[in-house]
Amino acid sequence: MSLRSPRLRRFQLDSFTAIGTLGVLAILALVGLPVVWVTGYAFSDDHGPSLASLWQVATDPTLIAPLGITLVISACVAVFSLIVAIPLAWLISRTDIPFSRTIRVVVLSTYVVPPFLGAVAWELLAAPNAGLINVLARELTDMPPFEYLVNIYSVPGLIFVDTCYTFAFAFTLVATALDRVPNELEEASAIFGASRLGTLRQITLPLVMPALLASMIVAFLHSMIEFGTPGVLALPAGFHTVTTRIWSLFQYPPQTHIAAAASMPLLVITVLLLLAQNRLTGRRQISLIGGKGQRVAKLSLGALRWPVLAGCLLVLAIPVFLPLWALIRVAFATGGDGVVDIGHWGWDNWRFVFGELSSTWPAFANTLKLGIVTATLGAALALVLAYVATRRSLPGSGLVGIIAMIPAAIPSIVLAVGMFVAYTRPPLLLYGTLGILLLAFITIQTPSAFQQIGSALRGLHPELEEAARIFGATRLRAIADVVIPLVRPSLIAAWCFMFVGAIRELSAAILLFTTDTETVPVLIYDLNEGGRLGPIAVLGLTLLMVTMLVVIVANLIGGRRPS
Amino acid sequence: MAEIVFAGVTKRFGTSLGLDALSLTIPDRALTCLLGPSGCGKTTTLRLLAGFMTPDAGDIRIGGKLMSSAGASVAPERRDMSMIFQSYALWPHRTIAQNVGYGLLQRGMRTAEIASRVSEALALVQLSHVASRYPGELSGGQQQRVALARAVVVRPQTLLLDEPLSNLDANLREEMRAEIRRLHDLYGLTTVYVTHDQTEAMTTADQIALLNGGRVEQIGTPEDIYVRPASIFAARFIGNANILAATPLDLHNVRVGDLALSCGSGDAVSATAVAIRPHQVRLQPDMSGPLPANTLRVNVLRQSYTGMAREYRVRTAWGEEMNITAPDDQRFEFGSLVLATLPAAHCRALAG
Repeated sequence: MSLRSPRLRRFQLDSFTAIGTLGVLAILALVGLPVVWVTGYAFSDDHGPSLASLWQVATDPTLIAPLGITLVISACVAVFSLIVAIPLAWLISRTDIPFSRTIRVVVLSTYVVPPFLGAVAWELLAAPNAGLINVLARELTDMPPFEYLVNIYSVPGLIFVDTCYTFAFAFTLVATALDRVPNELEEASAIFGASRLGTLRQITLPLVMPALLASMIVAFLHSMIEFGTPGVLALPAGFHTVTTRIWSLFQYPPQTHIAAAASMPLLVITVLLLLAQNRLTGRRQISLIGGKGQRVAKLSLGALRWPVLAGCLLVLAIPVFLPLWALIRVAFATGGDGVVDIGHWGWDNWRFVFGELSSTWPAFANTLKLGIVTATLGAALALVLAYVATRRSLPGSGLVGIIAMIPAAIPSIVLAVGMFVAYTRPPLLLYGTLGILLLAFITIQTPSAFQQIGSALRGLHPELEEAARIFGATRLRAIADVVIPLVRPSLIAAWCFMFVGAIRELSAAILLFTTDTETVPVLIYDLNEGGRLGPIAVLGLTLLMVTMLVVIVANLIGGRRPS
Repeated sequence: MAEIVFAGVTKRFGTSLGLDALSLTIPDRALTCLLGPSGCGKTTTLRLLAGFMTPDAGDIRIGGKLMSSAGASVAPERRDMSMIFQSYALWPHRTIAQNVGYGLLQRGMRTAEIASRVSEALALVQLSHVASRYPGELSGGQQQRVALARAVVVRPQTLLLDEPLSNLDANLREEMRAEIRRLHDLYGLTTVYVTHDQTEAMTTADQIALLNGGRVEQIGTPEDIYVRPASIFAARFIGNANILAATPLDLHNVRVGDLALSCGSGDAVSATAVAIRPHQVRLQPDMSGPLPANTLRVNVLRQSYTGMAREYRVRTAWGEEMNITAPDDQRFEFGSLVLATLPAAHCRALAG
């Protein structure tokens, strides 16, 4: 403890400061480089700075139409998601419906189905010619051949499938808000003479209104930036959404400046809507949480309990059970035409995928490598950022919380455009390697991991760490001995969710992959363009099983708390 | 030597002032209580001393060595200190023995020696039987004793305590207070003890530093502060003294209402108030004729019976109110007029 001079040094470069600073610089570079490049490319053309690219986006009908279609689709998905989510959330949060926990799990399992896989499953079910529903309709009625009941290759079809895999986000937000409305508020209204419906309209609805609007925004954004479903469904129908149009601009010869310019509306809309959502949830929800954490008295459904449950299960069959059934059916079809007439059950498709298809094993190897490395590096980065942000331990650390959340405001495909531009030139020539996919995946996954680990750190009493310090541990030692063991469940859960997110990522991978770096989702997308539905079903189910396994493990570990 | 010296230490939180040029000397091997209401800066003082915070101005020295100065400080782990936290801060994922042994492990001690020192420390707080359990399996009082064992096992120069008893119930608190004092004496520690509870401070401390608004209001032995409060704040905070507004008359007398009051201590010449403790005022039935010295007529507003005594709330003719503790057999009716004598020896003239 020798002090050489009477003054103490104001700033000491210890290993903690170094790691924290590196983490902050890493996220700044990860987010900053692509955003700067994509913006720069949008405001230039092949000859230098210019507004020509943006002008083309504003005037070229083949670029305006996709934007219009995207906005219509997203708005419809937002509304329909809410229409499905509100009654379902109300039934589960506010009534004595049986198996409400199970229903919650089933709803959340729609998260697990990657949207592109859901879209493929709905091709099997509702393609105009060979879709099971249409074939069945033709057999049961006297509908002539080549006429159809439903056509999934259409704007309504796309809205329908998007809603199937989006409403869960709205459901979660609405159910959480309903869970938090203190029962007393509703009882108070009843005491003052309001009817049940009056209470719902005048008390409950206004209280959850911010959550309803917020969930519409989330659903809108989710649908707007999705590439998988339009990639599977819109292209055969002969129209583009913004994401597929951006993708098409990368087909030979690539028009990178136009693609960057076409990304700008997505970026601007996302940022504006997220700001709006922030305002909505920031203002009124706090007074809701202020109510005592009282148990909500549930409305009794009486004799209707079981019929209502049956109704819920029927609704949930559409996004979950029906597509799964279709995928399983096709995966095991042997002989026949593979969709309607499956011949007999057998392992032919599985043998083909894992025995003959040359791209299967490399794709799985790439996907698993990416999943593991993304989750490991990403969780480490999220831990560093979350620590710096919650403990305010470095100068300017208040900003870190904002910086870490920026990727959430950048649509994956826009990020991919930016990365494509940023990393196809020296000194960072990453295009064509797994490295570029890795950087993209880490960037995309960081915000949710940051939030998860951050909330665990906020729940940790700072005195636990200070105690380690005062007994002689350096800050890094204290983090290793005290912080990491105590937030381990959240760390593992964050790892698992990043892994799952990475192995099913398509929106960014579709622009960044090359033949050597193909992943399973990209392989599925390619096979779909060739109409190979059996192998797709096999790959999709395998991906689902890996995902399920990891999610189950994550839940088991995440649910456990240290004594 | 571990004398602790704060010299003009200032700490700001945003725009509000946590410590305002605080100067304070904490003698070696003494148990000093930092006492004051919430927000007075006592916890800030302790955290600055531990090195968890860095001052904005001023120096902190321990045994002559500079530990903190404006914008810079020696890290907590390099200060040879120990601390007992308000939340105890026992690590839930480590056993009691691992908790207690942590500081020794950080000091690079050999496993065998750690084991023997830990069991010695646990024996000292009568907790040898829980060594292999986890903190979550212990009662609040047991956790507190583990925190104490963990703090003393490293034989620190300085022991810091941050409201260590506020989570315990009343009888456990008394027991722990004695325990802390015993270990302080046993190891010859320099102890700094933060509390808002004046009884805790009075019964434990060698020296009390009374803090108010980020400054030291008064520093001295418990008796000093109780008998010779230096300010209205000190008189009121310690022992709930009655404060009557006063104007100076001469060297020993002040005017209180319509009464010339003789003050046995304090500075009558610049007095603005007189302080007297409730149990030092004597009551007697009203009588006609001239009043005795230092005696005034008061109106009984309220009385309550505590078993050992009667607590009265009375009002003077000019509208000031006082609390008076009288013997339990002295009973006066609500609304009656009684005579209150303020013995000169217990009247203390105060300025500000």
